[in-house]
Amino acid sequence: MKDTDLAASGFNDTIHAPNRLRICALLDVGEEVEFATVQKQLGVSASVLSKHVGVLVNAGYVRQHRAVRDTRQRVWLSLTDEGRTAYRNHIAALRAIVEGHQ
Amino acid sequence: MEREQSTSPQPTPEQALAALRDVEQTRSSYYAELNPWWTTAIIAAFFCAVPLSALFGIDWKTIALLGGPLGLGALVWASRRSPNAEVRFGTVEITLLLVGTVIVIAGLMSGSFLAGTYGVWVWGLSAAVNVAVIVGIDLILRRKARRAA
Repeated sequence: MKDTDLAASGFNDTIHAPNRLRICALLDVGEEVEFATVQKQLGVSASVLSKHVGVLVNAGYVRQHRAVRDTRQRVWLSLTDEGRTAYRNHIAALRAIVEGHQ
Repeated sequence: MEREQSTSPQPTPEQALAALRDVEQTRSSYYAELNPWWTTAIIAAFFCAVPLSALFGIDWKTIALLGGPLGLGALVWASRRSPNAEVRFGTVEITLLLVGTVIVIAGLMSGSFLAGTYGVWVWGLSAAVNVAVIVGIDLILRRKARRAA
């Protein structure tokens, strides 16, 4: 199997969108990260983040956990097992594309 | 569940490399946000209090048994209240913390061993070493975090 074929096997369009890729990268290192923290790290508006999180939730890659802290409703985000596998396969696919070129 | 089909062309090697760099930058930015300074102050105060209690003739076991769980509880409580207060560790940080813990425990053990021979002032040295190690680790982590940011 060529490197480019390997790359194609794990490449994921849902995750590849820049903001979604960064969301997955954050959740991969942070396990469970609060919505506001993700927003701050990405530097995007809440509505933009909500939209991308919605896509990842619908794909079954991200789960949301809601809780009230200090009288405020807060949302924590985390990768599902399927999401973590898809993200890591996608990263492997990107590496294979880069290495296939070198 | 909605999944996007792979309809778009695969990225070029340059685009893939740019995406990987973006991922690495995002991961670094996560570690760039460290625990608040006061968590270090609490840990340093605790590891300073244990040897100092021996110096001032106070039962250190009480401080260790009460202060340890209370301090840890305060940190956990604070991290639950503030979303950004959680302690974040990468591989380097874990190695540093393990080395620091070993130094602190070795300091306490040697203090206990040497105090009988050289006098209780040894505990003062032990307290100073503990604080220096904890503050030192914190400064290294913050320097690394600033670079990552």
